[in-house]
Amino acid sequence: MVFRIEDAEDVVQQVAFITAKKFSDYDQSRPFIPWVLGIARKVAIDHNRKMNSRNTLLLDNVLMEKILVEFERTDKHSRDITAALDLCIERLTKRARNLLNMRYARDMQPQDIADRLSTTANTVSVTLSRIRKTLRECIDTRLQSLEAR
Amino acid sequence: MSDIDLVQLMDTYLDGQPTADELDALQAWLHESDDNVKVFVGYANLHANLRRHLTIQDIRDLRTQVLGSDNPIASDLTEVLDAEDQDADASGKGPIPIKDANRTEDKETRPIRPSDNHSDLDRKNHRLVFHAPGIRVYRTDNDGDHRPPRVLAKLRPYLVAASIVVVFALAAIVLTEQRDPAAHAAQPLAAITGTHQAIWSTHSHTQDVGELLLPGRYGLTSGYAELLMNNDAVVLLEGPCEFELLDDDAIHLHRGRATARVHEPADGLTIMTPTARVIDLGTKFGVQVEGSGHTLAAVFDGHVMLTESSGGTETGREDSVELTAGRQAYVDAACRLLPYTQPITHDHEFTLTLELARNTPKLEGDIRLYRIAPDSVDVGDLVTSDNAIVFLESHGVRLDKSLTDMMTGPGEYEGPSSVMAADGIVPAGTVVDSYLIHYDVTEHLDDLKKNTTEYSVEGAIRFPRPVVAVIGRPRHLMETDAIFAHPTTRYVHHPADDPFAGAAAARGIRDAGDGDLIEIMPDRRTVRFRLTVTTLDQFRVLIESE
Repeated sequence: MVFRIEDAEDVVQQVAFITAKKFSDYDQSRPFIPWVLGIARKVAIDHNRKMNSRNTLLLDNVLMEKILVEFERTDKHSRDITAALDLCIERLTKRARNLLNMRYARDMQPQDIADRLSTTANTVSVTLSRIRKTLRECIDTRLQSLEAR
Repeated sequence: MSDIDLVQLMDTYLDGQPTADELDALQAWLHESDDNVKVFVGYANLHANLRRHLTIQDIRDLRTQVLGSDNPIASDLTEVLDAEDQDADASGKGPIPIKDANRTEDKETRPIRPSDNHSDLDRKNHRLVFHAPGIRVYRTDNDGDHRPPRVLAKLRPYLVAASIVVVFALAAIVLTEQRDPAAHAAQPLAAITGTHQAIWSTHSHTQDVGELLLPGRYGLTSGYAELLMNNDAVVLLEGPCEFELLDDDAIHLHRGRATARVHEPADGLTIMTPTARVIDLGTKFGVQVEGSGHTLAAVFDGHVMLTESSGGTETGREDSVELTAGRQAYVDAACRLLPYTQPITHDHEFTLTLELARNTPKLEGDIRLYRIAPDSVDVGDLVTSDNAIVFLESHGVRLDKSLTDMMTGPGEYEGPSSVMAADGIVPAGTVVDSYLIHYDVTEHLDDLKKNTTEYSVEGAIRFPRPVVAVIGRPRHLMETDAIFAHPTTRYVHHPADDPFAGAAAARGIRDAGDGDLIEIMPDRRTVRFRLTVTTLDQFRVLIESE
């Protein structure tokens, strides 16, 4: 399953390696994103082929570029976001933190968590979404208060 | 699309679980505006940060719990973690190097591993190094040079961007693998998380623990079933009842009784009835629908909104009342909210948890169950002329010392001689739950003086687990009050010069013959009783604790 973080990390490394290796071929007068996107697509498709999949459905390029631009923009605030996240996680209930730990620290899928808690994967997914929404709102509030200072 | 639906859509995508339809929906939404892209990127960042934050915390915990601070491997790991923290703090700076005592002459930069001899830690640390875009831990071959290789440092922004692209690309690629026609079918709204003696009505088929319930109507002929709703609310249904699952956070209770517990972070739960709508505002509450449609709502914790409602249609003119803890209110069969609230009675019918359902004794005859312990069982404070009452005083009590001269075995204990002759022992260390049976006809001090009218009740109590002992002698009751008394209940205790002293002394199966009877049945779970009093009778039953 390519969505497993371990698989994704392998491919990320591969893209990074190829990007570094072929950087001398990169025409710096042209936009970087489409170039690296091309590498990423090829690596992803190769990986997918190894996983015996023939499907190549991707987000469209326009959307990809917008997302990347926004990622670069928010990267400037990464320190503030990390600090805010720390505080916001502390404000969660113990149960909510346990769920997050299972999902992220233990890398358990919603179904695995549901099995552990004798509930449904859908319940776990919904609950995680609510927790993330709470965190997102908390982080936004903290960032806004920082900007207001 | 509601906010939470949208969040869930993004989370589903970022968790790698979307269907093709969900991907289409997400793409359409992202194309709507750049602000939507910002929101999406915010959530993507949150996922990455959560993974990083919690993984590092998890490894710290692992190091502390398993390795101890003196272990050299732990020391290496600490260094990695500390470096990671510094990296996070030093926004915009290059990757933080890690000292490596076992470094080689290899000129290539590669991820660090603490030890080749500790595969678990290798794996853990390896995962730390590569876990998310932006986590950068390298080792170098030059003691004095702790900066990352120049080429990689130069490429860093591009590599991060490339990483992000790949993660998204991978997410998209596998989506087509997940096209599943079944995804379009109705989704379960709840799961059965527990039952107790549940018998489902024929049209509902048998529902076992763990089964997922689709939208639709279900019937419980008897017993209890506990549901975990998709919104994380827990609903306990008591048969006989008919209910219909409407949505992740909504149930229609056509008849019968349900209690709900809604905790953070679950959102509110709505229970519809034929005549009312009960909206949770963060609470524990019960709803009862009688055959006529008459609705009772009772709040045990937090508060709820009770609103008139007819079949779910609203005109905006419906009356509402906000109920707080300890209060209940009614909507009659004609959908009219009765204009007052009442305190919840001690012998209310609601069972809040499945555990309590399993621990609820079955009663026959002149006795009622108090689900809320009374404020007092002192003489004259809780007059129960028509029946005795029973309530759970304490549970899980481990005896520090043995109890002697108890009624322990099956048999009939009638009159003082047999009660006094009881010689059963409950050994120290036994863990028990304690129930008090109380019967008081003392309405006035005059009753004590006249002391002429006799009242009598009889019945049987079937306890959920075997009876360990019955305590009936007044002295034993007095001595064990300190062990088993409910913390908020006032018990019988009066000095000799108090007008009630005589009644207090007579609270148990008295020394004088008075027709009292206690029988522990051969099943060891049922206690039959007959109490004949002019003032007050009490006895205590200890049963095995779960």
